[in-house]
Amino acid sequence: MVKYIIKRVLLAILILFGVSIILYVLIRCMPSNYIADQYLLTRSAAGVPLEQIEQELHDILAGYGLEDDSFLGILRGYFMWLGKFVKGDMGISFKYQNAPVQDVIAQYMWLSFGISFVALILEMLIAIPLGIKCAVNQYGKLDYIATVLCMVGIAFPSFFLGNLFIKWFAVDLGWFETGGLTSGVGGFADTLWHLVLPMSVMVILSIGGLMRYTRTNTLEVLNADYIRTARAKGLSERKVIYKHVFRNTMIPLVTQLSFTLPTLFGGAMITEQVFGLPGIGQIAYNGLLAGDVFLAMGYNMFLAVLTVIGVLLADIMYAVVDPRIKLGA
Amino acid sequence: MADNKDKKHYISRAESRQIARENSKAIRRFEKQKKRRAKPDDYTTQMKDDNNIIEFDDLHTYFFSDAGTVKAVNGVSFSIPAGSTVGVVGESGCGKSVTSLSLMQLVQAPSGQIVSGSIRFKASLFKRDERGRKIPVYETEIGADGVERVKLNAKGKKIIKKNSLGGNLYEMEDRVVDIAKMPTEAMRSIRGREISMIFQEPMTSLNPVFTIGNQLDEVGLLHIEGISKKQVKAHSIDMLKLVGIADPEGVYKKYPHELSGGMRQRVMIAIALLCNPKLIIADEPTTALDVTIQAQILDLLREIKHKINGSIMLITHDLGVVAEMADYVVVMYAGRVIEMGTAEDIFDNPLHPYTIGLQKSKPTVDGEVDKLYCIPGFVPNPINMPNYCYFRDRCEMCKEKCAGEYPDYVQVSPTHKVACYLYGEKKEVGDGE
Repeated sequence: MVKYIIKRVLLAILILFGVSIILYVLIRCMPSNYIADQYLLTRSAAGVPLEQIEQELHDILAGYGLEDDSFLGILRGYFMWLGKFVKGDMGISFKYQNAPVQDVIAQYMWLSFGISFVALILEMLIAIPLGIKCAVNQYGKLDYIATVLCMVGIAFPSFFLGNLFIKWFAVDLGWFETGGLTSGVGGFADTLWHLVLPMSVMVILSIGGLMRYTRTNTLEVLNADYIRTARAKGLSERKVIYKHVFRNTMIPLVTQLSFTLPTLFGGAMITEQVFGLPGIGQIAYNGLLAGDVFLAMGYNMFLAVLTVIGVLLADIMYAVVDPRIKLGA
Repeated sequence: MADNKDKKHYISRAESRQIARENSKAIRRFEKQKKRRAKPDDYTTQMKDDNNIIEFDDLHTYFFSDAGTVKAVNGVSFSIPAGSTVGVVGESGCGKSVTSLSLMQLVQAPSGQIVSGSIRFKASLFKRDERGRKIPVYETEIGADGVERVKLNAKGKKIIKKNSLGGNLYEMEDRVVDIAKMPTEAMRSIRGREISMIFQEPMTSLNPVFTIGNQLDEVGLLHIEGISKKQVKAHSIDMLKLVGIADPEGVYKKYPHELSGGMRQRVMIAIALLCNPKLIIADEPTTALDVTIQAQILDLLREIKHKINGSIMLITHDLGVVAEMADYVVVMYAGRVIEMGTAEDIFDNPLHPYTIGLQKSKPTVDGEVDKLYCIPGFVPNPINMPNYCYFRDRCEMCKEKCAGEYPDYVQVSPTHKVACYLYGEKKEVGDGE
């Protein structure tokens, strides 16, 4: 087990190396660059001749390894970034007060995590029992209603549902506040009040997939021979479903849920944008728009690391919930 | 009309809608009946012959499929005498498994339903008081004044008598129940306690995520009330020992995937035996096993039958297995019993052309045969069965009379019955005597 994990971690480092090259090249190919844009704007307003500005800009950018946009120049810049990255320095975010990128991520991550975590818990609490109920009463009334609602949920784009909710519940009915985290009153309850709508949107949008997944898996297990054996023993239908069926349905579910790790910490970019929440998703989005190279790089690497951990976690969880699977064998 | 007859699989949209509507109506009715609350008196009947423990009487089990109603079991009647082994033979899809599943009320619902007929079973059920609770038997002692009274524990509560396994003792009553009319809830106390079942596929019949011990203990904890976990474990290990598992403590802790097919089938038998059932249904218990293990499992079943003094309903398509094990044989074809009798009757004097064909198609060691005999043709489509003898189209001894209605049973000897027109005359002779 330990040997297997070490092997996987070493492999993960290799994967992250590849991912970082691709990410860096892609980000450097962006037409905008925060420093260049801002410097050009302020200096030309001050009436400095363009040639002089460009000379100054080149010197500034050289300090970050961003001066040369040729292939070799990008490669040199990459290794400069990598050298700092392995030492734990992800560069500075130009857009956010020149703070170190890791500090920016750490600062805004927790709001996103809080929202996603609560949404995930709600999603599981609703979707998994509902999926099992639907599978048990396959083609019943509940099954049809839930399926239709889930399809609606899956089909809605988050920005559309988000805006619809703002229009209905915040503007027309005035039940909830939106736009940021507080409307002057302050305190935890006020913040929570602002988070109800974005959380509902996230839950509604994600419930469908998980519920359908649970339903399909439960149906598959329900037809298994060992379920018939369990019934032949005289067990009650409740016991059959919540012990014998659920334990087997859980195997693919747990793995599936391990994959949600990146979304859990990575924030919901669009939903946060729609509701004006200062979460990591929105920060990264704005950073990317402004051409904040190191923030974009840092955020994407953050997601890559989370994804790799999520996959590893899924494999480990597989071995935990399914006795037939032995890691590293 | 003629068009439709030619293309048997073609169903028009109107027809398919009607089938769906009728199916859902029928399924709803049967499901409601299974879920109803019923008093034991509602499904109590009388045995026709007191020596039997099971009597199937004109059982019909249908599957309401989208293509039409499949009459998987279509009027099956036979009985299982106490302490005997009854072999049910027939080719795949003839309804033998569905018959046994009907007996356990385990037919794949909602499409599969017991439609009519009855399955009488001599059960010993828990006696219930007027509020539906089990009545315990209390420990008694003879007091100083010589009067027998209920023993009390330190807290002044009555002490319930324990049975040999350590479970609570309850008052029992013998009652003949009709399983076809029983609600599922009441059926649960018969499943696994009075009738248990061994399935065809040992590889998939055990839950892969629980240990063998867990799956064994579950039955004990469910049916033996008041038993402690420790006592259940001891009993489970005893059962594993009984079915010939060499290292019962080790196997108890293992998961199903760590055992071989033969071992798993032994574990299935141990689960079936745990509550000393009166009847064990073995649904092709050896089909998935290789020949040496087959022989061992059959020996084990025979041994166990003597030990628990119960009956076995052995379902198989292997005539060799039946010859070795069964006292009585029931031959099924296309959802009906076509011939039944003692094992000697069927093997020494097979009457129905299908039974004769089956016997001929069995490979033999002695005597040289170039090519194994094969019954020509196919089993008829189970939807829209013809109303003449189902075997007519494949039968080599077909007569004009066979074009008529489905033949009645002819009692050839006190133990031997056959449904075939070939023996119609014999019946009259028999009656005359």
